[in-house]
Amino acid sequence: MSKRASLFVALFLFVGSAASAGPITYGVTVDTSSIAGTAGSLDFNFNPGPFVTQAASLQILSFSGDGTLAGSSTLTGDVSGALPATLTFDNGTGFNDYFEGFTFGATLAFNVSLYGPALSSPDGVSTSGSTFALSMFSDPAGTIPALTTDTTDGFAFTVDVNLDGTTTVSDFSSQTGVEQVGSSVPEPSSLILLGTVVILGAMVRFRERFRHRTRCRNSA
Amino acid sequence: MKRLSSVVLGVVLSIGTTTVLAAQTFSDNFNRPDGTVGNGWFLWGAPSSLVGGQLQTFGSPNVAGGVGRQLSLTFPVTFSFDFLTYNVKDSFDPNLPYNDGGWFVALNATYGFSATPALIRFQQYAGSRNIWRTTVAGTDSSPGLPEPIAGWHDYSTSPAHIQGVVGADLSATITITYSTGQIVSTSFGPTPGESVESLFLLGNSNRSAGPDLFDNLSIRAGCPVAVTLKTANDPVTKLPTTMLASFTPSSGSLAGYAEACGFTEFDWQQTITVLPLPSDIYRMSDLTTPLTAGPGQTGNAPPFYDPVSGGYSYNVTCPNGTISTAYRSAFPFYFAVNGSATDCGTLLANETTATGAQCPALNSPTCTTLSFDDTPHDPCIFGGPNAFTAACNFEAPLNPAFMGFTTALVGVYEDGTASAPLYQWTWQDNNNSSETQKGFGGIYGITVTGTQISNPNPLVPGSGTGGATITSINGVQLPPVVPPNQVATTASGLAYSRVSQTFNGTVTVKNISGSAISGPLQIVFFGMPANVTLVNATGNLSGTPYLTVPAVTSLAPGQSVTVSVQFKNPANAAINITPAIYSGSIN
Repeated sequence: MSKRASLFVALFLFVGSAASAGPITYGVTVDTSSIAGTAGSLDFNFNPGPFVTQAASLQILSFSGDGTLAGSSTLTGDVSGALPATLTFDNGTGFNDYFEGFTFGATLAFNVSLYGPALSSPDGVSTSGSTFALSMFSDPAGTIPALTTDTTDGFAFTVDVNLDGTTTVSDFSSQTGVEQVGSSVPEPSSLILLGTVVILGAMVRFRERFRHRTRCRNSA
Repeated sequence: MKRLSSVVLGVVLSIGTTTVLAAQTFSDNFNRPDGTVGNGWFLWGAPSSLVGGQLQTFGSPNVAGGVGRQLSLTFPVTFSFDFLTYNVKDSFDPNLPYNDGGWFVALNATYGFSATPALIRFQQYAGSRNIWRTTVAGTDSSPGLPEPIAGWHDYSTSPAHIQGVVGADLSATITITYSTGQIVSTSFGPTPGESVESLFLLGNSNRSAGPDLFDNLSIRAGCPVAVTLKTANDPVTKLPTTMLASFTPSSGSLAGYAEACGFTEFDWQQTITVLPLPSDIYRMSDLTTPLTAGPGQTGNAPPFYDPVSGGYSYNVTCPNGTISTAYRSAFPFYFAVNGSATDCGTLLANETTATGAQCPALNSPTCTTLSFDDTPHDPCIFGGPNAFTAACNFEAPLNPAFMGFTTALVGVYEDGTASAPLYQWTWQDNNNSSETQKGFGGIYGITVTGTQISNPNPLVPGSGTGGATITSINGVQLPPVVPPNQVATTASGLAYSRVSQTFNGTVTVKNISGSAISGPLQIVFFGMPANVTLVNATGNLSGTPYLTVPAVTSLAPGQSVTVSVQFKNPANAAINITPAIYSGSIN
């Protein structure tokens, strides 16, 4: 049985490590009720690493909530669009950033969609990934981080594009939920959980069968 | 020789909208009537005077003798002078194997000699002895070899030329050119220092009477340079087969900064310090004696400039298909000062504008970057296509089985001579690839446009093993490098924090070899853009930061370690670094 369980885990981890043929999309929801009414700001950036980095792109989609965009946005590097419409980033320059004032309401939601060669066809020679980061601030200048435990850098969450085409989410905000959507390929962390559930389920079923067969033998 | 002494201090040149602090310069050729030294000099120790257009000094126990003046210097500083001595023996111990004829220089010092407090001072008691450096951190010596040093010579009545380059970190390189033309050089690493006063002192360092004479003193300060070093890989083996460097002044153009530093141009100067036999490299002027340098079958052969005077016996074909003629006249520089942009052996062909475009003309104000590249390879090295064949005399070099280089950014003076090194690094290369065209490294014109390499690679990709390894930077010796086929160094993306105003990520080092790699491990970030800094660097090698991996004494096969990195990048420049892993401490 333990051999069979190992096979389950290996199978799921392998699938999870494979590059994605389509975009990888995360649904992001933020409970901003604790700072509702605060005139703050939002920062999105998507940047390459310090070594050789393969091309990747990212979109912010379906931006919604009851907050209010305030002032004009500041775009740096390879970024286009304006909230609440779609923002499109690529990692072609060292700093690709969208910053805008925002008066927080009770909720904030949007999707992050990552795509491009680094995700669909990792080249095996690049040595750096790319990273997306969201930061929220309780001041319009973007200096006082909000809704995060990362007071040093102020990130609410980051998404790393790994060299094998997978992605890794690091969430530093208890008010922020980041869930993969629109993909049949579960995330590795989910896979491990799913694999564990499957294995445990298989163990339970095996034990039940074993007990049943034992009982049967005993009764025979 | 009738030049007037001159002092130019703290001149500020405005170039466009930027400002460059010009070099501080001072020179004195002592071509004044015999007698009083004058020209603002005061005397210290045993009396000094002018004789025959030279400064004559005398030795004296515990005091020696010389001259001094007010001269507050901003580092880096380059000083040079001619020196000769009439000492034949040490007067107090004639049995000593050196003649007690030596020199003394103190910078940003107070009055005195033997216990002179100074930001930094150098002294050499005799030409065949070690050179001593003293700062608040103490005294050290270089090259630190048994005396008399083999290959070094006591000074004599024929003048030797002594040059010193002292960095802002008080690292220093002292180069001595004997009257015979022989050159010896030694370096000191960085050390702490504190300016005491603003005196410059010059004199002898001797208890023997002498006299000791000085001439053609020149001091130049405030010409800092930062050179970006990196390597480029063979596209198949991923081994670092090309050595790359670039110099971009912190502001203004190459020509403007050269003028501010007292030069007409900047250029590279490279010596080949190790070229083992068998060698199939010949001078154009001598097709029978293979070139060799360093230790080997013929003893310790002296280093030689690359390219050699008159060029090698083969033609260098540029990427555009033309045969370089400039490289044959480049000596003693790496690139010929004159020549067209279509000849890859010229300075002009290797200078670019801020946008990476080819420079329109030498000394054009739009030219901002001077690049260097070299792709040496020795197919005689074991495993190479020519090893043990007739081309390599049916042999392969064993000890050493690599080529050694010392490369420096230098200034070109108006008379066509080179300054002392402004920035210098040493490196080795054991690549044994086949070549697509004849050439021992030299000038292949792999152009560097920003960080992108347009590569008409002179090597047959994947045809060899080995590559380039940087072994020291401005005198700081690096520990052994971990070959790139034994370690994988990767990084995450860099998330920008508006709070810390840094770009943050991680670097992971994984042992992909079958053996443990000993710590401490140093991640050296070659290719760091000039205006980017690694905030959490452990140290900095004249602009090249490094990070010591904490708490790793050994990295087992398959094991990896991840460290955080934080970059300051105020210009939001692309950060395209070439990391290298070294195993050991950097002192």
